[in-house]
Amino acid sequence: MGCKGPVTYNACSVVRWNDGTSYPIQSGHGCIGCSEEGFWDNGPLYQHRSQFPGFGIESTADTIGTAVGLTTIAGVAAHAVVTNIRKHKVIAEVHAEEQKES
Amino acid sequence: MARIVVDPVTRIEGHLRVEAVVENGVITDAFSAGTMVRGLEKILVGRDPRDAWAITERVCGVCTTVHALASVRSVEDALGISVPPTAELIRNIMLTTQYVQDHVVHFYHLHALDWVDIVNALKADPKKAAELASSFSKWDKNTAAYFSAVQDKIKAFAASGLGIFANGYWGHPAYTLPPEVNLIGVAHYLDALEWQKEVVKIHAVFGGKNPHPNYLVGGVPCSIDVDEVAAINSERLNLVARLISQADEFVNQVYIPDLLAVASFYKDWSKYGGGLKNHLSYGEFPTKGYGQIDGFKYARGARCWGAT
Repeated sequence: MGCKGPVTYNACSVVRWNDGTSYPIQSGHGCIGCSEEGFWDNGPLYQHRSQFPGFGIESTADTIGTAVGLTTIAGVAAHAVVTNIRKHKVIAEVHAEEQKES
Repeated sequence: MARIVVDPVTRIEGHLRVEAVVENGVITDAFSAGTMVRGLEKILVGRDPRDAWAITERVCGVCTTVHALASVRSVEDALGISVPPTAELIRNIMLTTQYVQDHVVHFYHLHALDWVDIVNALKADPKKAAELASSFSKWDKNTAAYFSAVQDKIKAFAASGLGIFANGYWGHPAYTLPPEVNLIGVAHYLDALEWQKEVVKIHAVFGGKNPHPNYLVGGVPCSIDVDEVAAINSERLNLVARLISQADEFVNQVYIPDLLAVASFYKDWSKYGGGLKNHLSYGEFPTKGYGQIDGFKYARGARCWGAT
């Protein structure tokens, strides 16, 4: 995650520029995402970013947050189901082995 | 009649082609052309004028900053904006930094090796080089030990094939500097490389980074408060002051003495070319706003010496 949230990826705030002297946010200017591919066409520099490339045209930060949240919940649920199925299989195998032994 | 084509012309950033018509050893006509279309005027059409500086600035990474400044000034002129006095001072500090750094980089790294023979510096006596350098400058590195260490470095470099300098005209009779001056030149070429990356930290303080520091239509993006950790505070301003005094020392004890020393061995070259007959300057470093040309520290004007 870079200075401009999920649309920039550089580590400017950690590494900083010119032997660690500063970086755009520290000097007071907003991030213009200059290390991103085709940054000059990623929208006006001085407008609030309510739409991110890669997401839906009308997406706002809130709906993206909700979407990410829902995906996470879905992921947790799917993980639980898969784990359950895998465990069922292991339990069945252990049962079968026990029955063979007895 | 011969027509000589030099393409690309190096020693500059960008792409330049020059053709010269030679008759009996005299150039009778010449043509020059910039051969790479940048198209910035086209790129800017339809964009937010506040964004123009960021795109315009990227025309060149050596003379970074100046195009951004020209861009914000144009937008401010169109919109009738005058910037606050503090912003004007900060912009002047940033521009002066570039102005000084660019002169040094241009002299040492773009064309010094047209005058300074790296390989010939191996023949120099480091002690004599130190004595000579001390005679025209008070730089604290003017010692035999220092020049000897630089010579060792060049020796190892030459033994490895001279890297990117392998195809230079080393040993060409047009090089007229004595070995000691060549050694001083190469030593300061390396020192200048170190120094130029230090001085541009001034751009990082006020503009976040170099190359391509940030500008802003209407002023500057940074705020100043000597006690505030997140602003341009006393620590930041002390860093800028230190870098300015280092720049002052480097220019006055290294760059200008070297320039004069090298020039004194190439006086013949002053006969070449048409010379400076006309000079036009837009002036620079405003003190009362960019619209008030009487407040410029460098005056605006045109001058003609012997019109042709």
